[in-house]
Amino acid sequence: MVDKDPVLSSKSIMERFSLKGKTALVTGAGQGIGRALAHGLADAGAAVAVVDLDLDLAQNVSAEILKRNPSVKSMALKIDVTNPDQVTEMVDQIVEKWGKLTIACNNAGIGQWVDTLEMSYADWQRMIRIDLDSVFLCAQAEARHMVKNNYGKIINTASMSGYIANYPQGQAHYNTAKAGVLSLTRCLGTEWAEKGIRVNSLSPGYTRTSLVAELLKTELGQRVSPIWLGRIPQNRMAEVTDLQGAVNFMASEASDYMTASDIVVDGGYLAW
Amino acid sequence: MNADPVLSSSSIMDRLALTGKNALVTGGNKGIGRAIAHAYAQAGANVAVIGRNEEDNLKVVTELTDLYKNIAARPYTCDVTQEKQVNQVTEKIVKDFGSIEIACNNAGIAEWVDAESMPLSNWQKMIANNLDSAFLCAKAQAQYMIKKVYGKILFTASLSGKVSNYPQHQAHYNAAKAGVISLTRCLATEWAPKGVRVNSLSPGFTTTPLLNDLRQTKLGKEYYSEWISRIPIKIMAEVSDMQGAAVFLSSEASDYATGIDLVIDGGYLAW
Repeated sequence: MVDKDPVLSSKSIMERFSLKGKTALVTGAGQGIGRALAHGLADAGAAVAVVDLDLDLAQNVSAEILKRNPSVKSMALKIDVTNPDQVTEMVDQIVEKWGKLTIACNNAGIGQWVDTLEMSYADWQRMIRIDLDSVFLCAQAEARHMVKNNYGKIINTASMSGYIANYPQGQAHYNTAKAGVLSLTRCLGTEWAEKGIRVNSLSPGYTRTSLVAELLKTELGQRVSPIWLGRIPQNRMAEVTDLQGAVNFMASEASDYMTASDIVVDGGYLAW
Repeated sequence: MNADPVLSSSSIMDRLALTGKNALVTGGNKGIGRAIAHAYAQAGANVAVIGRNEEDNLKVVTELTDLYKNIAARPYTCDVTQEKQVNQVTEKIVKDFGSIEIACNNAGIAEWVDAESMPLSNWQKMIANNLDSAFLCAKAQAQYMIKKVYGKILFTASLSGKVSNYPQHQAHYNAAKAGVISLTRCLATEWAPKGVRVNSLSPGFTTTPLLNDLRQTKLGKEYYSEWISRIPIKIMAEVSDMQGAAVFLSSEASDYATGIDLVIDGGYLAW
């Protein structure tokens, strides 16, 4: 064998997990899962652009990041991810300030519970626009930059809801949008495979974001919570921090052979 | 009020590390298993290298102890299709290391043979090596992990557990790997309340000694370009491409993931 032994010639796996020198953006990073992902990337040394529709929230998280990880860079951007011009502007601003964009977490999204018989067409369209169209727009703008470097990591936040219909709440539009994100991930992952861009997704199970924590205090929340827990083998919801490892892995060189794939982090929900 | 988990958690880099944990790898003396053994050691774990061949085990253990100064590594000879040997070696490892937090059940064999001419003995040998061994090892390991209410079991499955490979015929291999993916789900849900996490890793076509041998055959030479044409990334995986997923699934950073299969296949399954 003339090939070098890849085991002995590769960098240590912990070095390959590191994101030092890389630049990242996270959409919907003003709160919840996005905020946790932004912190996770910064923990590993990446410069992180905190993107949100709400500039105050984005600035708060950016300040938190600089406090927790003083050696990294961070910026806050107010962007509507359903607006193609603003999405292009998002990438341009990061590239202008930091020279490149290596990692993009397209995470922004909304949730809504509504039975399909009661669902207005406007509800449906709003959901598809925010949870699916935005991922297309962001990935396209990000990849137009990443192809120039022949390297990039795109990570879309999908959901276990892309695989199954949740119970008992009705959310046909949300689940369909997330199934769309899983499919889009496969399509873009294969389309851009030879251009050095890796496209993967994260599928969280039920996660205790601040929004969900509020919801669980309502009468409806009290009713659904035991039903959810009864269907989660680990019998607890995820904390947002439970999702950081998967995304850091997919953002790092340690996953460079992985593309068009999905990591489910759901406490075992889909296995039952 | 719960503390904010984001600000109260340790750095994700610390949660990805395996410092101070004890890990075993079956089939750890070559190919993907050897790569995972190295990665565990790089991440700070002590490593038990399990394999059938004593000399090969010792070679990898020497590599590990030479390269990584702060960890312990020990060789264990075992045929993972033999229940008694599996139980004995697991007990010995727990005795030597004090505990076992991480078990990578990776040992396996491969063979190409058409189903219509496959003798039952070939089928049985494949199922014993690639599926029964997974059950035997996990069962033995879980006894110790359940006592500590913590453990991470990782199986090496394969994209072959999800599709039928082309053009080579390997119905027994593919069925065994599909069985591993199912076993992963079953054990994960059974042991979820006991703190034991069970996941699998599905590599795509990977350059290993095992596959290199097959590639030297007349058929293998024919098949190679066919495989590449079906891999979006257009190259085969190196064993080092599997290290990150194995460390992630063995670390605390994946404690909420259980019953999943992580596919690292250069996009193969997406086409």
